[in-house]
Amino acid sequence: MSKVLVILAVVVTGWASWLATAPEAAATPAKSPLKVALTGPEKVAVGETIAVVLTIERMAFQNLEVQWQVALPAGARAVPGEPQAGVLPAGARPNLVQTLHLMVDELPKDDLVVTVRMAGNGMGLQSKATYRFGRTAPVGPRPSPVPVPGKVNGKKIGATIPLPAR
Amino acid sequence: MQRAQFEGPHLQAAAQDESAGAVHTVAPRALGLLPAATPAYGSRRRVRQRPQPQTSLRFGVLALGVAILLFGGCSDQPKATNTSTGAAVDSSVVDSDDAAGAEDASAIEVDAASTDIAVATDAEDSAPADSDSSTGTDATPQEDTPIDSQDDQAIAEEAGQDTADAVPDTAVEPDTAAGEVLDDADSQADVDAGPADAAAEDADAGDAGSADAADTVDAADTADAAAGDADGAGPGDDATSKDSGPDDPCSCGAACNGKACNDGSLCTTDDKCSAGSCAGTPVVCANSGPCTVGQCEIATGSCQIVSAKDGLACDDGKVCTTGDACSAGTCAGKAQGCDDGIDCTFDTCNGSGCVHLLSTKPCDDGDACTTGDLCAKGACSGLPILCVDGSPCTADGCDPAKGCVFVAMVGVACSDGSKCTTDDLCSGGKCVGGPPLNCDDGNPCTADTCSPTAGCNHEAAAGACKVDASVGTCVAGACCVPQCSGKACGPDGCGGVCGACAAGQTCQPDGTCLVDGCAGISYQGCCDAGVIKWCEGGLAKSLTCANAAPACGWDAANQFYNCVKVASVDPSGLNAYGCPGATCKAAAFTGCCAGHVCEYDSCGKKGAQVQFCAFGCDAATQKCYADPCQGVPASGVCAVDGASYSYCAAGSDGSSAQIHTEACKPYETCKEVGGITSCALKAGACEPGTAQCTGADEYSVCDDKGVPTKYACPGCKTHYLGTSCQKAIETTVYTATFVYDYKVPAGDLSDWSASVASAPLAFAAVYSMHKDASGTTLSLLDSTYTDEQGKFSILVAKNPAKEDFVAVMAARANGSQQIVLGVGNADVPAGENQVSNPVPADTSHLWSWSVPSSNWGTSDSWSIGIANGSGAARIFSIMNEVYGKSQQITGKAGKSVVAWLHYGSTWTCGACFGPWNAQVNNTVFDSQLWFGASDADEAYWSDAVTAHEMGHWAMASYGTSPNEGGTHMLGVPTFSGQAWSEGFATWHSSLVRNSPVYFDKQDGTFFWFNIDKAVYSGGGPLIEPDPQGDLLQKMDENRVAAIVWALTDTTTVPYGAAVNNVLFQALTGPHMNTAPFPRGYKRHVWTLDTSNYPPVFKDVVETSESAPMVADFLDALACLGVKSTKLQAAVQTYPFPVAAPLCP
Repeated sequence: MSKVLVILAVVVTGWASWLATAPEAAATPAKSPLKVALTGPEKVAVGETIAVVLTIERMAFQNLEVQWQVALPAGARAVPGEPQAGVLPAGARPNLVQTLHLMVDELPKDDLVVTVRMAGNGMGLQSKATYRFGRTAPVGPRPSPVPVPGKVNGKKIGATIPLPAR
Repeated sequence: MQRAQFEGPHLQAAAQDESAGAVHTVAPRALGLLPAATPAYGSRRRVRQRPQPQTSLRFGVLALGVAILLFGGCSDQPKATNTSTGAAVDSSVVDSDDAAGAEDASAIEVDAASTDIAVATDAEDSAPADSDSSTGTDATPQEDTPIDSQDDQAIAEEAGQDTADAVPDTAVEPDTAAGEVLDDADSQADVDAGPADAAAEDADAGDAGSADAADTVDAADTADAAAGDADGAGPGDDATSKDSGPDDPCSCGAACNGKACNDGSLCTTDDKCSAGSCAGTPVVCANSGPCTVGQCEIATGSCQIVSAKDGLACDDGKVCTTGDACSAGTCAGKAQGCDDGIDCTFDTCNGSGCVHLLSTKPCDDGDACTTGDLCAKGACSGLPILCVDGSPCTADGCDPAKGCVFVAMVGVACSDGSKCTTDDLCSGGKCVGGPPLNCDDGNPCTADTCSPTAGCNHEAAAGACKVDASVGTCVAGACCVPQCSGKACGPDGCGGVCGACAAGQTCQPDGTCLVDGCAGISYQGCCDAGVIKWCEGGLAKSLTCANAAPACGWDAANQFYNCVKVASVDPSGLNAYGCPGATCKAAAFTGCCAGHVCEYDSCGKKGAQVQFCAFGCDAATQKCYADPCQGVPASGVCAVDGASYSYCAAGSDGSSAQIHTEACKPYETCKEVGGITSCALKAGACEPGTAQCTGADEYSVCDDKGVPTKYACPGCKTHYLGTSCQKAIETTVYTATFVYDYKVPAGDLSDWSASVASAPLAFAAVYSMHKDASGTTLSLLDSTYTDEQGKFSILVAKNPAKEDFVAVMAARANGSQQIVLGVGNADVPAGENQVSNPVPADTSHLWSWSVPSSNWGTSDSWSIGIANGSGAARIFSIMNEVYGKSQQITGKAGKSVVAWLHYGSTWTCGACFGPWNAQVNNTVFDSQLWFGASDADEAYWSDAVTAHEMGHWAMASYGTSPNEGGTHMLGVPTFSGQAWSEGFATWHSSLVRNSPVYFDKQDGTFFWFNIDKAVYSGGGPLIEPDPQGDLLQKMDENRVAAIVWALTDTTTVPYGAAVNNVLFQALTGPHMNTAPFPRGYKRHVWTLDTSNYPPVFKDVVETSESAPMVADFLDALACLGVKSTKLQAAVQTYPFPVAAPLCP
């Protein structure tokens, strides 16, 4: 117990340490059993052939197969003989690395999308990995709070998000 | 199968303040997950009103408006009072269907116990009676005179009249002598006096042949009474004296019309001459219910109530019965069948009639290509099954009639499952392996083999080898060439020695042999009872170890024995620990060695590795700490000076609980209340920044040092979030509504729906800020909270400044103006953030959305769109519902909690809960949640995850957590404590959402599972417990969730259902909150190596800390009275002894 009291004495010396350093969280939801990634060149030129790499990591449910399927956008086509779909068989090695060779006839306006599915009787997964041919990924909402110079009950409000007029 | 989706808002059942007795507006919840109080389905059936019961026998016999057909002239009252029983009486006419009226072809007999009455409404039967002129009844066609007998009665009652008096005056028109037909099947009873009615009445005479003729007032009797019964033998003789003969006042024919006379019947009144005959108005006798008939006894003229005939259609007044019929004077029906033929509705009958509640039960949509069929919105549907036979050599498809079909393919590349074959091809629907894999790695020091499951393996082999031209020896899979050039002794670098010194010589560090006086002790030395002995320069040396390095042991850095903190031996085995000639003593030293407790004998021989120091090694004592928090309890302990407190809570990656220390503020001191330690205000101190009204125009404001000071405050008002002086400002009321947009999973559970739903932001704090003309900052003018529809009314300045605004905050307050739940907009960078780093308290803030004063008049409904951060509103709604309902069920508030959400940012844990403090601006919360908000996942739409994390919150607030956190994976059974806490949280999520389907999106992958199906792998069950195993075996967390779900009442509103309250009762009761827990499970610590599948549990240590698990919970339920049959059905293969629970 003397060791504990030593710790306390250290902690109470200043406001800076008023809040203890938080440990890593204890309770998390279950991890997704599947990770999917689709990577390719950051810049694409018309007329060239590019390699896009599909990576699937099956972290659980090794007894279920994983299906994947490519959806090509207009302007890109697969090199003849290249697979457009496939399966990571049940019971096989959990990781799949599949290179997709594409010919770029014109710069696609849409994304290359690979849909990956795994399903059982009482569960299912679906992932859609995208490759954007060098285009920047769209950014989701970024609400912008506005600071408020006031207090509520003696405590700072911080900021609030003005709603647009209707 | 379509999973249940949230169509409506999540609302609170009640917004009740946590303060004792303080209740704001109590508003019923209208949670979209739960049925509303008023059934959504079921027609509003017209409820018929029954006649009022008679309250007086004397008046009752005349009371209700039942038309009675009588004969002869009478005065207003019956002319005689012969009450002889069993006398023949005339009958009423009862029409069971007013639509048919008197022309109804059905003949109805009213059968009294002893005084039966024949009642006929059969027009055909009336034919002979029509000609019965002897009755003297005026059968002149009359206009039907509909009379609502009940209305009459009601009117009479309203007028303060006696019902019995009222009816005769109103129920029968004077000339309806032919009788009336009472529609007893409808409260709108019409009394008809049309010709057909008359015929029906007269049909009594012709009804003698009816089945009940013996008990029926036959025509003869009636005729006797009416005609005066010439032989004088009838009862009417005694009862009346009919005018006849010369004295007949009607003998003058038409000239006597209207002249008073006596028709000889006591059942008529106001007898008058008409065309030479005397006739009166029939006495009207009332009945007393749908199965009774009032009738006039001819002999006495008095009314009697008799039972209607059995089988007579009637109305028992109950909407839940049908086919109502009379039986022994009582009207009763059979329970009404409400089956609407739709399997996906729960059909029942309540006070309003049939109700068809939507069901979410499993069903069968008849399509073999769907699975997991569930009822949703009244229809049965399922998710498409994935027809996968696991064979790459079949083309998989689905036939709606047959289900999955698999067509064999040939010549397609495949994998035969063996890693020792290459170029596998399909043949005959099967995968056939190709040429064998070449595993030769070209290393002469490895043995190359192939395993079908692991592929090539290269194990280290022994033997000679070569490196270039040098001959070496294989060591650990590599070729090692000994380095002995210039050395006569000592290590050769390949695990051997370069040579041995002659007797009397010792080997020196440079590989030379010297004559020594060291008695065989080498330069590397040895240990002898805490003394190092070694040979240096041919001389024997020694050193007694003490102080900071008390033990003699191997010094790995210098590669010789030395004084060290913890004794150990040369791991190579080349240098013995004990000195030559020393006598070894067993277990001479026990201490921590690299985190383990090890034993050595005095000669340094390593004994057993006793245990791993789970909570660290105390360097001072060389002993393991006994518990993770070194004596600090979970409930906390105050520092000696009261300026802080510490408590024990699980943390890190599951390896250990940790001590958390919270410093109290200067105006606080540590206190223990109810066994829980926390900071509390010192005597006389106040919460800085707060203000309380101390009078109508005065309030006490607390400064930042916690000192209260009184000030004038005109119109002081304390409201939801604070106190303000409202009289100083001219105000007006602003009323509006806040709603927010959100997303639900798509119907096929593949991603979030593309469409956007909207729901009220219910029970959220609303505040009005105002800046007066002289002010520079805004101050609080009023505060309140939204109702279940998101509506609020709040005071605003009548002449607002342009800076004034009204805002809604993702926060809930208690009755003491303290925010106890909120969603915080964490001030953290974009990308992944460490959960272990506290979120900045001063620059973060609770999410709020405002309407500036300039827009107040433009709309009365404000929508928080997705671009405005409505994900925070969605998380708040789920959290707030759980918080409120948990408080409602348990009767006490849970831990205050803040959830962190920042768009574009994620957390190392994904989403998680931690039972330790956090601060937002100046508000402190007891616990925290973290939710990611990446653009790819939009995980804030996962109500399942929010409710799961709030399940952890519920366990931390009301129960005892096993403190086994850390990484866990679907399909990987884990230790009992973690399986319990995670399974409980997942069950809690389903309970809150009233859906067994859990869903989430992580790293771009949307996944779901159904704990009700209890399967999730190729049609097989989830990882089931070993029925032969023990109760403490590793469990699939979703099996635990499925067990509790099977004990859950899903047919009614989840929260509040009695059976579900038992689950909470078990969680919060002493059984699950008193250590040691009966089943004896102790918290484990471990690390999970996910680099392989299945993941490997490493460094597993069972601590001495008692922890609850699912068997304890099942015990608690059994002890609370949950039946063993129900428990057995729930536990499946888990070997819980339902017949022998452990009860106190």
